[in-house]
Amino acid sequence: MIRLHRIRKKSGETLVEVIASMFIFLILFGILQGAISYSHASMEKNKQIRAENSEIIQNLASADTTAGSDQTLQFVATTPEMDQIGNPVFSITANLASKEVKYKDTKGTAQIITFYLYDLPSSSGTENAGGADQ
Amino acid sequence: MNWKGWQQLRQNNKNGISMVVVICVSAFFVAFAAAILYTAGLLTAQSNLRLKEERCSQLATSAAEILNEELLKYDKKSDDSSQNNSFYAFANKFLDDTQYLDYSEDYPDSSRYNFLVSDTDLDNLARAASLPSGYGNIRITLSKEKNDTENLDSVKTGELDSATAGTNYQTEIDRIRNTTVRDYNLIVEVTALYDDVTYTCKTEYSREEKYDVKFSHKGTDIVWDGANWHKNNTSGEIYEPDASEKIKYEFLTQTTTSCVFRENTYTDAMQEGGSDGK
Repeated sequence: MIRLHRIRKKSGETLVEVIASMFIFLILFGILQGAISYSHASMEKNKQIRAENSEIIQNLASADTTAGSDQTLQFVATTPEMDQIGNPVFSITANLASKEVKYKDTKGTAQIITFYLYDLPSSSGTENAGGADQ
Repeated sequence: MNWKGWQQLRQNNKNGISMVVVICVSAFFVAFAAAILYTAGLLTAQSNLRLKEERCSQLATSAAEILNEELLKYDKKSDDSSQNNSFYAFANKFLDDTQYLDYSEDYPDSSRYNFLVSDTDLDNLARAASLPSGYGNIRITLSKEKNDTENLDSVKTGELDSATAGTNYQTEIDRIRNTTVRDYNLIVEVTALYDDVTYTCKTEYSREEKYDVKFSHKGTDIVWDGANWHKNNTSGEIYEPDASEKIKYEFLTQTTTSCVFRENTYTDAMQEGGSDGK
């Protein structure tokens, strides 16, 4: 009786417990594997996006500015919290210009992306091509 | 009943520990996986943000360029309609009017003044009805600082070097009339708001003004006509200042003969921080 008690005291996990633990760990490893795969795919995608972005930004510097319509913007005073506006104080006239940038996406297809910018109004008579670049 | 329950707990004190270990390790794995997913998502979001930042920077720098042109377009204050509502006229009013306080580091909010496009949607500052989609919105922040590098009081009044009969004062009078006074620095911050991204372009200008000059000698106002001094105006009686007292001059700060803005450039300090354009 005493011996049986000793054996019970030294008893380990049952087979069911071990199998249940293994099952849980398998599921967890599956989740971890999924996360790592996703992360890897995401890194690859990031790499492609960054390469695309750098090509776009590089081409943007040399892209021609296309003049749009002139727009007069009235500016009004506002509170520091910018939750209320006051009276008009000054206005500026700008040309709503744009720049079209060509680039190749990851599949090698030619794409066009448009950037918007303000330019000197066409009535000012100033040469405006690329004038807003810095 | 309580005693029995306590006994039962003591007997089973080691039971269930395996499950606790399994749950802890599981939690660790799940947290680790979540961290990996979060980092990957964050990196992707950062990559996508880059183009949006570039769009915003294009808007801010180009708008700052327009304001720069507006400030440099005129060289003299004028009350006529050509400067009506212009940024140049407002910039001068902003510097001259004492209701706009000088910038103070202690009270930055109340000494920096914000201006928005009139039809800005106050619930979404990145939208203004007059601007088509893609142009975001523009906010202009102005602040002014007294120019510490010049002792303005000593510049604005003074005395002519000599006061002897027959002296030709023309050269000296021209020098005085061409003296530029830089009393204020104007700081223009142009912020482009595009979706949830903002980009600020900051430019500092100093205003250079030339004033009309009033001359006086022994309390009498005198005017130089190119050859002689006259009392009060050029058609007044010819006045011969004696050498007992020097001719005094005073800049009439209300009457400017020239007023231009110059962009301040600093070569000894590199500006850091991604959001500042200049």
